[in-house]
Amino acid sequence: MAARVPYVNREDLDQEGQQTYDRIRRDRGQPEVGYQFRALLNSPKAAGHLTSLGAQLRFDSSMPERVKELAIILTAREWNSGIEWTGHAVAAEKAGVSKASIESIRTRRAPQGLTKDEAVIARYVHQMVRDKNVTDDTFAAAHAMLGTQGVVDLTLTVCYYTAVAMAQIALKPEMQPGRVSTL
Amino acid sequence: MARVPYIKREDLAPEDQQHFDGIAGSRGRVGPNFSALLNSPEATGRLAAFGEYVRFHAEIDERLKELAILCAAREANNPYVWTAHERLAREKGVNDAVINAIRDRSAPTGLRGDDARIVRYAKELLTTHEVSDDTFGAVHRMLGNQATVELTLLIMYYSTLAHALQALKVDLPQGTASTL
Repeated sequence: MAARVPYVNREDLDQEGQQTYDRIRRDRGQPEVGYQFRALLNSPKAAGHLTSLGAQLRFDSSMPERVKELAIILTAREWNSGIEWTGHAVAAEKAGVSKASIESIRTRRAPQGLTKDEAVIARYVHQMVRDKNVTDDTFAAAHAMLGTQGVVDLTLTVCYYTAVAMAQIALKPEMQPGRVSTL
Repeated sequence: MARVPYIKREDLAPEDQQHFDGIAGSRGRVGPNFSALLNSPEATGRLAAFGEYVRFHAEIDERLKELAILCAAREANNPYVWTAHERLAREKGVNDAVINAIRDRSAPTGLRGDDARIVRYAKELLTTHEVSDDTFGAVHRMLGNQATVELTLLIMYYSTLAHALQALKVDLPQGTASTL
């Protein structure tokens, strides 16, 4: 099995590409660069810019960690991304999202079964992705919770994880060896 | 009015003004789209740099890029991205019949050759969220590994930008009426 494009190795890249490769690994604190990024590295510059955006949204968000991880797993569920779900469901639990809430998202019952503030984020993500239209009530509730920069970060986080998940739909990268999807 | 304030250069901290200048430099100005997003300056700077690369430097025919962008705007129902890129698509030589077919969602029916291959790819990705082997293969034979990844990320960039502008209810630039 393989993706629909080759997985790029570090030694396949020029010096600038290798810097991108090393930054992806370093930002994410992983021993290896994930297959999903190695597929994107067929365009080293586009992959470099995209992962730089991702690192900002993931590691330097103005949203509380719990809300950010909640938004990520809600987005991963929408796009059926086993790769994103599997890593981030663990991060969400670590950040304080209950097992029950995670399960309600995984089984698509959410916002049912979520706490009140989790349900605000779920409605925002669902309306953005499914309806392409966030209602005034939902926007106001998210804004009251997160402030202006927070609600823009929420929006961009849904955008970024949508982009990487949909790139996975197109390019079909596999899970890392030894990992099994929990989605 | 958008749901968040439009940020002017002087609203930004000195260290964040580079993001405003970067966008103005590559796009000629900072439109309401990035002005709204600049409420989160660093993330927007990085988003804009990603967009600048896939829009201006991806090695894909400019006309085909505009077709892919129109598909992304159409699927997100976003008048901002649609209106700007309908004009650009015309400038690159896309004719009315093709634009109308994307707008009324009948495309790729009625399109031919590379146009049909690109639009089929974008539509499968954006609407059914499953790209068939045939559709992927046709694009991959045409573009190769690098440009196929770049086409995918171009579609993703505009789709996500369009979704963000929808969520924040960003207005079209002054004096511009929606053509979607």
